[in-house]
Amino acid sequence: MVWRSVAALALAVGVWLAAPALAQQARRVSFLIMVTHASQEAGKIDPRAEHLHSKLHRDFRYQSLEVLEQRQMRLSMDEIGEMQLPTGSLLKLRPLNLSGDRVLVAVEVGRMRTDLRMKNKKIVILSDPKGYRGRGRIVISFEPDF
Amino acid sequence: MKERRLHAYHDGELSPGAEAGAARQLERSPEDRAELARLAVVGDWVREADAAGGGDVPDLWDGIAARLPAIDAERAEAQAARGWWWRPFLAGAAATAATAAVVLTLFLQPATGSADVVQWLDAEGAPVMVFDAEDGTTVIWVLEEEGGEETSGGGSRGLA
Repeated sequence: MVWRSVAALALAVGVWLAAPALAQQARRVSFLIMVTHASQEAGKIDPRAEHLHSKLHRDFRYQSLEVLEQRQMRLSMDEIGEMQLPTGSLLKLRPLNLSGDRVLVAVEVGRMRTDLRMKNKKIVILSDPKGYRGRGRIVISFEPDF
Repeated sequence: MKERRLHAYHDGELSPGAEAGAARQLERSPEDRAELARLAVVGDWVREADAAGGGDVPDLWDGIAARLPAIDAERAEAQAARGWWWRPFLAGAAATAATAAVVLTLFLQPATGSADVVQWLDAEGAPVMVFDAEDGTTVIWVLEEEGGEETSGGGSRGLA
């Protein structure tokens, strides 16, 4: 009888200790990913990429900005989301920790790796280190929502 | 004899009957006689002091009050002579405090922008630009690996 009580107590303590980690694990982060091609070739600014253009046009020179792909990834903590980029590079996202209004995310684009502490609904823009079609770059924007 | 009665006897404040009784008691008590003698001495001192002081001696406070401005002046002179050696140190301390305040303001305030977002980055030696664009957007721009597009003209960065 005593052993049953001890086991029940130990189980309760274990659940109590593991609850925050389980809750953390259960939380998911949604990433809105947009893959665009910025090029010096004459063209237009894709209306879907207007917000990206507004953030980039003062710092970079390009003639056109075309949206190649848009995708939403919904990932749990430590879950890895992958996406093949037009350059052949692999984009990998892995949310590691949610704390307050920030999510810590491990990101890989080809051979570039980084850890980002992203604010909710704040965009981070990355360039793929590989060139694309000779005269342009793949630009990836992603925005977490949690 | 009680002290109060002895004082009254000394001061001649007892009735004749009580005075006679006190006198008889004094004859029998050497201690009372000694105490009476001490009272007499104290009385003499007071009377001498009154006689010596009179109205001719200036009031003690008048003397002190008259001396105060001079004392203040002396203190001010002494402070002027020795008191300003610490001024350069005070200026130095103030400068140090101001510098510390600036440093603390710069380094202890919550970090914002790309420095706060990018915790770690490895591009395997490729040159990388990290900066803040509009609306707090962080841009991580890895320069092109090989055969990249060359750009020219304009005032902004090229794509490569």
